[in-house]
Amino acid sequence: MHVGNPIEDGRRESLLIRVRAKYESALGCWQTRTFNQVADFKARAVELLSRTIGGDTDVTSALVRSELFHRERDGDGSDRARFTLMMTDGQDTVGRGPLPLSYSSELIVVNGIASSGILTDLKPLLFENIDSAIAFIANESEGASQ
Amino acid sequence: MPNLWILAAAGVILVLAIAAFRCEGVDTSADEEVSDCVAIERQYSDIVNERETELPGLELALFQDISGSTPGNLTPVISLQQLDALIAILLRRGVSSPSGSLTSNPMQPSSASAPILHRGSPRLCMSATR
Repeated sequence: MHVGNPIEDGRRESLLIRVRAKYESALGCWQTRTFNQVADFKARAVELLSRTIGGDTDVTSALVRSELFHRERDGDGSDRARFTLMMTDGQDTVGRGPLPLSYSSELIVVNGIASSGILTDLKPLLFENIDSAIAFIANESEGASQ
Repeated sequence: MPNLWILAAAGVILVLAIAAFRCEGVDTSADEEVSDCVAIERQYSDIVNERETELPGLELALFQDISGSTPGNLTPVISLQQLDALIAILLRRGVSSPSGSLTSNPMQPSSASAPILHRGSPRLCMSATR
């Protein structure tokens, strides 16, 4: 970026400092907003996970919804790694209807019974524990860019 | 005394030369300045977004089944630490960029309620059912 002219270099340096300050300010706003939203998400997720009410297991609806989620487009057109992580035995006790014929993400099922119930036809990757599945997602999604 | 005049004249010339040099540096047109700014911004943006451009976007949907019908309770329940680990994986793709938005979008409580993290590329959808 230096052009050899100390005055011009100084001017560019001050411009870069201004641009950097503007960027840092925008980044700070984004981080604050993100932090708050992540905290909100986690609070509701914890509440969701700590409920003790009984009920049916609607695996089909969960899969349909996550498929809808993955098919959403927000216009940036970027290619993405897509995963659906399901901690379930795959036993649907609601029976809302057929599963999607095709699925647009990598389907991962975690349980201790080595079976995926109604999800079997979608050929999910089976894991015995969640940490291994998370490690797989981290490696696979980052390895895809190598 | 003549030497003093010569020194004074040299000093004036030097000052004028510096002023002219400085004017040359400052007196750029607005277009050039905008152009420079864009170039610098792009260069800096390339640096700070390097991490993001290295990594592809990521979308992650979670489903947690905590049905009591699972024999021997063999379906693990995701912990807060594991949730943090997943969020960290997602944010690695977005935290360097101030652009984009992250919004929470709770699903209707009539079904499995599901908060969603949603930002340009990294997204997390979560639902749970019992």
